[in-house]
Amino acid sequence: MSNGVRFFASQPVGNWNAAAITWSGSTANGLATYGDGTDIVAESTATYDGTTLQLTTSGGGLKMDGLNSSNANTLDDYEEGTFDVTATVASGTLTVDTNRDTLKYTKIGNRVFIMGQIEFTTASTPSGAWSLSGLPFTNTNTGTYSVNKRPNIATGISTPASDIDPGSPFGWIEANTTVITMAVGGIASTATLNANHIDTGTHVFITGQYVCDS
Amino acid sequence: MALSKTVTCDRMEVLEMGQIQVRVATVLTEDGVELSRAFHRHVLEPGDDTTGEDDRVAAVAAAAWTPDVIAHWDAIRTERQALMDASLAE
Repeated sequence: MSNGVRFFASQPVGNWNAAAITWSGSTANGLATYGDGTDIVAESTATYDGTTLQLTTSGGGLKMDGLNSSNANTLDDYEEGTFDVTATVASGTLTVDTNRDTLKYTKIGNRVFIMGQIEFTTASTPSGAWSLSGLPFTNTNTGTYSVNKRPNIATGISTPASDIDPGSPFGWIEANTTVITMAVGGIASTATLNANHIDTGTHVFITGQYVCDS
Repeated sequence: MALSKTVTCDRMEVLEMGQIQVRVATVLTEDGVELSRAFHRHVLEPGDDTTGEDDRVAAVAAAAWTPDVIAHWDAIRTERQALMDASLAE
């Protein structure tokens, strides 16, 4: 084993022998690190007392990179990163400013949290349905629509070309897609948010979460 | 002290319907020791243009996106659009 760890139970100081390995630890419940199968090369200040694993070194942490556990009680993934958004519109042109098109995500287990804002640098007679593409993970295709297959995404729109009235804008992610479809709700019939509300300089604030299958 | 920056596609996840989730890692190192690693992601759908993608991503797409996979995905896309249209008409 390379860079493996060994728990030092509750013996703060003393020799420990197994498989021809002899090494003396100095930290109560400390963890030792193997350089290879036979050499312990370091002792970290991280500890495990049989109940609590405690990581103490600044700059480190607990790394879980897509471990794909099927156990519902197991946290198997954590990731932070960025993604770029592009706009699609039924008619006309909507262009997202390339300096304002990057949003952030944090994935915890199968849940993806997204946040950020974009700004349109070009809005040339946009009209009809519009959407934002480029989510970092594909929305789940399992479960039910009433629970998780079509999550709402909170979207705020500042300095639109015209008042969005009646109703309030929101986005949703259709199952099995990486697209936020823009709509307007709070009215008798949920409808497409017409892109003619978007102008050059319009900002869209986005925050929300969804579930992915990977 | 030698600083180095590398940008690599360090992960690809091929989903059931053929989408490829691509993770690009930007890694900063000093004398070979990693200082930071930042991730940027995007997703490719069956039939998407892979121009400009990492060679390995293009290779995976070419292998995974058979005509049947692309046809199936097109059918899903059509079905999905119908669902969205129906929702907006409610």
